[in-house]
Amino acid sequence: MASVELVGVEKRFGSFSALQHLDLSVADGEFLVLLGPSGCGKTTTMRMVAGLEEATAGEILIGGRRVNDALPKDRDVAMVFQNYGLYPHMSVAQNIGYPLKVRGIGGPDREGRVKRAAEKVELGPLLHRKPRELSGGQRQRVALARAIVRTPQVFLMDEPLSNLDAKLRVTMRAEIKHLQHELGVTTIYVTHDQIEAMTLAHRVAVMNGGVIQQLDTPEAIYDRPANLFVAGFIGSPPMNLVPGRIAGGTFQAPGITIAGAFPAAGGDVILGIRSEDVTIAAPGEGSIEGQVYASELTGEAVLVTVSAGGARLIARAPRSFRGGFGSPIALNVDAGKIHLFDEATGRRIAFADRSDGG
Amino acid sequence: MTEGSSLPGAIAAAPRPTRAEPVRLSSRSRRRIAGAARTLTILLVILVFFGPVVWIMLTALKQPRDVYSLSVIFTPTLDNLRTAFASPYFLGSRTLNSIIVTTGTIVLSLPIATAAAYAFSRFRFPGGNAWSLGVLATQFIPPVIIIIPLFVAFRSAGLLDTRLALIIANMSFVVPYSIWMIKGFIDAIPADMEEAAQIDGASRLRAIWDVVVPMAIPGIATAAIFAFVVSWNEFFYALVLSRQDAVTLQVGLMGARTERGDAWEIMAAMGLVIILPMLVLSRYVQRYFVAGLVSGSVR
Amino acid sequence: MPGILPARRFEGWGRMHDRVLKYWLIAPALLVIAGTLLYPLVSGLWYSLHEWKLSDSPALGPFVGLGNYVVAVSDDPDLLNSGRVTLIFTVLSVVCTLSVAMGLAVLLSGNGRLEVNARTLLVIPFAMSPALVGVSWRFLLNPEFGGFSALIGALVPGLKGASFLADPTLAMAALILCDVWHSAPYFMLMFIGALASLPQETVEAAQVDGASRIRLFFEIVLPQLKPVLAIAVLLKIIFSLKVLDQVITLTNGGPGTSTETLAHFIYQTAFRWYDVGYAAATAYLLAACMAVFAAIYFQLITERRPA
Repeated sequence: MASVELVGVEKRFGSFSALQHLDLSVADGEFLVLLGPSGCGKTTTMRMVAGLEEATAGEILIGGRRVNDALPKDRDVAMVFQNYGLYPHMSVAQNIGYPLKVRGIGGPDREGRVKRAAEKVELGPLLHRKPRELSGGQRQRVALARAIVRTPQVFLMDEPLSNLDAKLRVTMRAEIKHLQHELGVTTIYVTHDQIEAMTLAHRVAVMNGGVIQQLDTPEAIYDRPANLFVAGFIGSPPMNLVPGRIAGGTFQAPGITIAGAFPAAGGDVILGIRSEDVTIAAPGEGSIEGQVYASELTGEAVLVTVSAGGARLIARAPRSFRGGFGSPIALNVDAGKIHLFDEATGRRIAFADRSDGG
Repeated sequence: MTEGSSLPGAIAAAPRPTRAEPVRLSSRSRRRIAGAARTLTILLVILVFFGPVVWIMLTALKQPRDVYSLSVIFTPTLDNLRTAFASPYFLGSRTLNSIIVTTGTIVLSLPIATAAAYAFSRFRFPGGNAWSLGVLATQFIPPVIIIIPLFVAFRSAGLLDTRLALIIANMSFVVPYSIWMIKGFIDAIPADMEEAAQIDGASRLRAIWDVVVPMAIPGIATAAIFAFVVSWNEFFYALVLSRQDAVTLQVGLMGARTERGDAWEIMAAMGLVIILPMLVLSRYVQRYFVAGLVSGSVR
Repeated sequence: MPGILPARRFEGWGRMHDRVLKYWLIAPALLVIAGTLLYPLVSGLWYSLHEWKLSDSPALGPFVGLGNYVVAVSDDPDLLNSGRVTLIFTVLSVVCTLSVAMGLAVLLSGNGRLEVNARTLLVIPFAMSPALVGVSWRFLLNPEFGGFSALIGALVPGLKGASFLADPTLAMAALILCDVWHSAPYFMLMFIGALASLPQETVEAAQVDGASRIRLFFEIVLPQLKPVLAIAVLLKIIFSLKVLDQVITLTNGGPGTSTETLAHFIYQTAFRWYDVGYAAATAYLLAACMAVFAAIYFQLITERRPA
């Protein structure tokens, strides 16, 4: 087990710059998730840790050792691929045992370790099957078993759940979390699914355009998004974002006025508020007046889209809410849960009322 | 109808149905006639394209006196083969030469081609696509241009009339085309598996051997069939480069042209030995042609 | 190749880095190609600039510059004859082979048992060596006991008992016949592949619109086969230009020089008259012709590939 550090790492493919000066440090035993839309550089980052891509500049350290020039086989990492990367001509047992075989571990020792790894992921009775005779979930388990059969310094997982159906994904997610906790191996996990990131990670690195936008605990990323990209990317439905202006301690946008402890220094800002921090009120009794644009029952709540002035906001209402299309409605926002972003830079603006310490 | 008019009546009756029923035949009988015509055409095509092959093979088994007749019914004999194996035709040593040259070409070419195909499939080279296209382009150099310097070089190296010279000459077309063919197969194999092997602790070479080669076996086998067909059938290089010791089956055919005229029964016997492996492998040979079509060229 | 190689490469194959390994992987193949193709190409060009009778001396003869080429293009009726023979052979064999192949493809593209078996049997002619094909047809066209000449004699009474290989025109016809028989099955497989990948809706739409079978083929199917047809034409031109094995075993250029193709002319010049310098020069002229068609061929397959 070991820490992983990336110092000033850059990656260019020809003239295309995939990563710009990335600094990232993963503590020993930590579960770090790289989260972002496709093409954001998360997979490239992980492949550089694995040694499948070379860094154009910067240093990569595993357990304090510089590994830039080490071949993948010498980095002592294990990886689970999006398409599993199982060897189709080998049985399940041979697949799991391959990392031991190439290290010259044979005989009963290998057999025992393969068996233990297979049992850990509940593959015991399938050891003689070929990968093509397995279901998607079983293939995923074989890939996991192959990763845990030796105790590597680092686990790398590249969207391991994206080829599974929704139900199985939830089950496997919990299994991965449990396994990582049990083994305590430093893990880097790549995904574009924010739920996976939030549920699995000790810390999440949100990436976009080859740059880490925010690196923090899931709670902090949800509660205090560092910029507009993170605010819009994390959360479902996405955070309500309303462009407006602060003057005299009041936020104003067309048709919307919110009073609160806003910073004195005004200017053009974007106000963000999550749907669960918006409450519904009778017309005339809220700080925002509007009409119901649509309402959608999700099961545990009703998402109400309200058009107010030039903007549309989504509020999470109790499941008993009923409001016809176009009926008048008012909204109140929890002033303590408001986020402000600089209109020009997109960066979060800290202000007095909020405990923006961390 | 009277008895006397029965004959003309029968004749007159014949066209009547076409007049009484609608002018067109029913669609079912039309389809049946078209189907029969089609079957006949296909049988004729088979006769034209496969008949000659059968004819050669039958001739090989005819008594010499039957060879010079068109009869299809005869008492089969192995006399011609027996004669062909004796002096001056030496079918045995010719066959052995063909087997050694063909096997040698395959055994030397495929590992070389597989390694290069993998490299061209997975790595970028300065100059990009030009390399692998250049490899294919070599297929369009006419053999007559290659053979003159090869002949001169083999002569000064003392390699004329050796099987090694024929193997080297065959590799000039087997290696480039096999590279192209195997590369097509490796291109279709995702890189996941070999990456997994490398992370599992295998070197790149070991990953190629343990993971890529087993998965590319169908492609390598197809290339092997190709190498077999073209090496077995190679005539021109062998004609120029061999005199006596290294003469192959194909060149041996020329030996049956004696001053007293062509010894057809001997040629047919040699032809039989040449065709037999193709017949045995015909299913696989067809598969290789179809695979070759993908890359758009066959020698 | 990168200028600085890591010192690690001396520690063994397993430790070799990809940027080095990739060159080792292609090295043997490049060695084969360089030795058996590039070296002959370059030295052949060098020979072509010399007068060199191999029968007189094993050493390269006097340098004559472009002399061989000048003679070839301006003052060699035999070469001119070979050029004419090659042109006639190429045009006729391309047209006949591809028409027959297309006919066969339409006839045998189905998946019935007869069609599938017929396709397998038809592969045999192409899998036969060109040399044996030539010998076989020499036998089959024998006026006295050849099976095929008897068949032709029965169909075309004027050709009964004709001595195919003794008459200049008939010998050329025999050479083309033998080539069509040998190569049509290959192009048939190519066309069957193309027919199978045609979008079925276009054919069905035309059927619904009421097109006859013949219109369907010429107006709907054939236009869509154009890209494949273009590639087939070029490939067949290239194959025909370098035809040699069958010529040697079927007619050996005769009677006289009536079937002496360019490749056969070069072969005779080099290995019968041992006039190596001149043979090399004429070989380069042939290669230049083929290069034109090969270039168009590459243009076609490279622009087709990404699509």
